[in-house]
Amino acid sequence: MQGERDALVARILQEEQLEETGRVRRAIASRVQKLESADEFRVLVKHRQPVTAVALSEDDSKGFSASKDGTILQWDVVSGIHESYRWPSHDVLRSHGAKDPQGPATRHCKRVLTLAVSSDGRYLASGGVDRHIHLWDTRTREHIRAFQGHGGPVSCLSFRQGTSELFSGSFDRTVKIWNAEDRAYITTLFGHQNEILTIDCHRKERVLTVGRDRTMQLFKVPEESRLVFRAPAFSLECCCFVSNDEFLSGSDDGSIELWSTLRKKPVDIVKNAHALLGANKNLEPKNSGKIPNGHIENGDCGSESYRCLSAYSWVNSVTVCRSSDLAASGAGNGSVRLWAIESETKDIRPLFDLPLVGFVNSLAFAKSGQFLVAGVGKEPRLGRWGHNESAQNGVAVYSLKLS
Amino acid sequence: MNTSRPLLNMWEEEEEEIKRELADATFEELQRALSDGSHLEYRKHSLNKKHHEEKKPGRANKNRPMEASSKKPVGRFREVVQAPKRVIRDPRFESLCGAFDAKQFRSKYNFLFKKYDPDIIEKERKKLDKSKDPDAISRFQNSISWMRGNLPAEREKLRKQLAKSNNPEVIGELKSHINWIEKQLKSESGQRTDAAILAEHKKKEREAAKKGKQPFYLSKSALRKQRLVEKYEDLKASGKLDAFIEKRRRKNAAKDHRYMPYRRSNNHAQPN
Repeated sequence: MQGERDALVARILQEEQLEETGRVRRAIASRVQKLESADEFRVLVKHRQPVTAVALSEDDSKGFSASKDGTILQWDVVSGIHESYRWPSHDVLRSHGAKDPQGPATRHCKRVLTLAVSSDGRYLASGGVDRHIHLWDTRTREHIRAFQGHGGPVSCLSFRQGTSELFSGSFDRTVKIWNAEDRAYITTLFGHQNEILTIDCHRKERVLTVGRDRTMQLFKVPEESRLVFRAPAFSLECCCFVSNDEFLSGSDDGSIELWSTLRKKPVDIVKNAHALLGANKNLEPKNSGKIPNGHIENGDCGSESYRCLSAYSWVNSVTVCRSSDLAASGAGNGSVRLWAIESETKDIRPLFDLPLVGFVNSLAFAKSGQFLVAGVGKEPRLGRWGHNESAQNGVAVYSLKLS
Repeated sequence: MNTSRPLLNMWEEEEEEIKRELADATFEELQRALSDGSHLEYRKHSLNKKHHEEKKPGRANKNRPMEASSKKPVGRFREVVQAPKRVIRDPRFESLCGAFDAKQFRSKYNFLFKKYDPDIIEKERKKLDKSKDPDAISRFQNSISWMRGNLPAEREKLRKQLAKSNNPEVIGELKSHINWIEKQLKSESGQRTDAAILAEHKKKEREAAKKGKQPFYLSKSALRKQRLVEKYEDLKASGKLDAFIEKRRRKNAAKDHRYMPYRRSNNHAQPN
């Protein structure tokens, strides 16, 4: 009797270990049930300005979100009660290592573009336009340290799972490695030829980055080398690991690509994943393209051309539920799409569309697969290429029903 | 060895010094140094650098992603359009196309300039009617295909089109095309006579060389003279020689007229 129980426990632990390391994939996608008419994203937390990043802790209880005006909120997933992270004064920042802004900028620009939370839940890292990476303690919500070193706005951050190693990508085309525990800078990785937009890292010391130079690069840190994947002629906006050898990316022509380490081109592409339908006429503001005097701007085209390659179709964020085959992608066309990644046939199968108005700048799955969190805004994450007045700036959550 | 010991001593001394410095530095300074990255300068001795300078072997399969070093900074320049490089091949200078042989070229493309004779078609047609070969029709088509596609035939077609059309642009285009065809035919006939003259000269020289004479190359002026001689012979045969010479004389006279004086010159003595 004892032996049987021990064997069972051993088996469960081994399965968990395999899932954690990414060698086995949970089949969640087939279990997701069709959404009812009443099922929708409900707004959990409201922000004043568009949300640029959301992050969930490992135990799925706490979530963090940041917006363009620099407010960072920590909220409880179930109740929605939130607390904000207060920015310390200028002197405190300087004592924590921040450099004074030079040149025409006389104030730190507080705009936060990205967030990352460590696996043990102790550290929250935020990066923004002021070129610093700010390290916060999640339990006391205090600012610990500011890492400086990047030459341009820090656009993406990611902690390595299980450690306190932090990877940061920035508009200065470099990826820098830091250690949050030791408050140290480790090294810089080169490779991109234009701004880096998204970074992802799982358990292994391998970093996946995607940039405006139309390449996706997998940096193998211990071997000091990188693999270069070329996208068919459009800038890539977001990326994430599916497993150690498969990746998903979204590009700015509205398509989603599935990649493998064995092929330099995508294994599967889904085109027009977030096509904008013509019925959304309320998306254009009244005086589109006109400058105050009533003259028409140079680049003003009719609203018909906005349908095809506008900012509403850019796939702003893509995410995969940890060690499973369920993926989600978000853009500005009004819905979040769920996908299933088939492992044998290596293709992306669409599951459902979840309606959500606004630019979905960031997505995060719960580790257990119970819910999906989306950071929504009236404008895209890195600029103001489009504006959707009917959207609500904030964090929305959707509970997945699994059979 | 004796020479290595002083070096070792120096290194140990440096380490001791660094250790002392670190012990004296405050915690704040240490923190700042760590996050700046300046601590890396002191680690140069003990850093176990793996030697990755050896060139990585090429990837196994050309479909695999490119592998490159992540330590070397990369420039900002990127190719905007990934187009394959176009290789331009000029057949005049390409060794694969072979050397140009004028005689062979002319004999091969002779059909373009031949004026076809309706009798030949009749002869071929009679042959077709007689034979019982199943492929006879296709052979007949092949044997007269050049008559349909060559330059004089094209000229006839264009002349018919010219007679029909009204559009001035189209008329202009057709006229220039016909003009071009006529130029081609004229130049070709000239080339043909030149080639014939040269061939004849070569044959004569070859005969003479066999007998022991040194072979001579025909110069351009000699070629021109021979051309004129042949032309005169042709004209004499057709009886138009007089008309040709008369026209030539008139043209030259008209040209020389401008050199004629129109005032009396005062060099001669006046009869008193």
